[in-house]
Amino acid sequence: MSPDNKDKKDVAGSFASLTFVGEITASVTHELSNVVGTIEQVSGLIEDLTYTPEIQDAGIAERLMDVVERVARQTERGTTLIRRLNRFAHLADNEKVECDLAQVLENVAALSERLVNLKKVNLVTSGLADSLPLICNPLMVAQSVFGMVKRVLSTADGSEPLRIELVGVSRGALVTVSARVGTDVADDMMQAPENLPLEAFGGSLAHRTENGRFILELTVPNSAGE
Amino acid sequence: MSEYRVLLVDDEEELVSTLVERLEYRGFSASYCTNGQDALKMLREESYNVVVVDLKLPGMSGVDLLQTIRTAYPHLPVLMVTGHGAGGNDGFQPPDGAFAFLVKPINIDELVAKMTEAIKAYEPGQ
Repeated sequence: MSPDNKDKKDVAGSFASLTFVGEITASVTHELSNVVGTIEQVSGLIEDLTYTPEIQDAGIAERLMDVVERVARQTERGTTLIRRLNRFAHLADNEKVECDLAQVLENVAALSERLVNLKKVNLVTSGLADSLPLICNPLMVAQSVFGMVKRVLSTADGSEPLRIELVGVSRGALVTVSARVGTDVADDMMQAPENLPLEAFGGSLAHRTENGRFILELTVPNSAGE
Repeated sequence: MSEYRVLLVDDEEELVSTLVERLEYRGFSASYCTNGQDALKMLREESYNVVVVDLKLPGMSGVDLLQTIRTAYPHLPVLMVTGHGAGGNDGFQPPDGAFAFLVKPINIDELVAKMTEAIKAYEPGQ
């Protein structure tokens, strides 16, 4: 087997493994969705019971409704997280597919938010509300953007939000991740991160510092026609 | 409200039994089963005004059950329930023949509204 063919086989094998992880994760999210759905219905039943004369007469309807509302808040939170995790898992369905890059990155941003907030940094996005369809490997783009977020986050001082921005450019899209740099950040952190799967979708990554902000820019080509 | 008879088919027994109880509080006469074969048996033995079927059932799929009901009971509306709306780009296409699709988690008021709409749409003379 030639080295080229071996590399292709390795890449295909790696993606098959990711697809496997994605399938299992997606399947589990359906199970979790049923768990949350059942909790929601049981909570709804408690709410129904609060309207019965027995509960009204016992004077505990208000306390029960408070419990119902607390459960509802948590089931809503769980449902949102499950929906996001499910979308994320389905990124591994196809190596190359037409997708809405804005929707993919909106999900990545939401799933990254907790990690960013743990560093006492806020996360803001722009350009993710409008659809940006293109053909690419969405999982590898998502992984690259997540890698960019982690690198920029490691340099951020938290005085300004970490920004994820998406704009359409000719023949693709440009994803920018940036944040204000802290005072004691080592120079080697102010570089583009290595080991991002850029080759999987023909992406290119650039870095610069401007007005005290460390900026990573990812170009995502539209693979239509390839 | 006249007591409409509804059959729910979902393999999540605790979920579907709770839904039955909630529907009964809302004036429906509700029954449930957890697979397609039992659903067909119940349909042979009792009459229902509407059937609510989960898309993913063990054994006979929700889509197969929908198609069987459409053929055997053309005047019986079927609502389908799916978790796919929560999903991603998994290529899900709603099958033909369902009166409506509901996405989990089920909102009880939406379920009641859709069931009532379906029953009225299939009432004789409509």
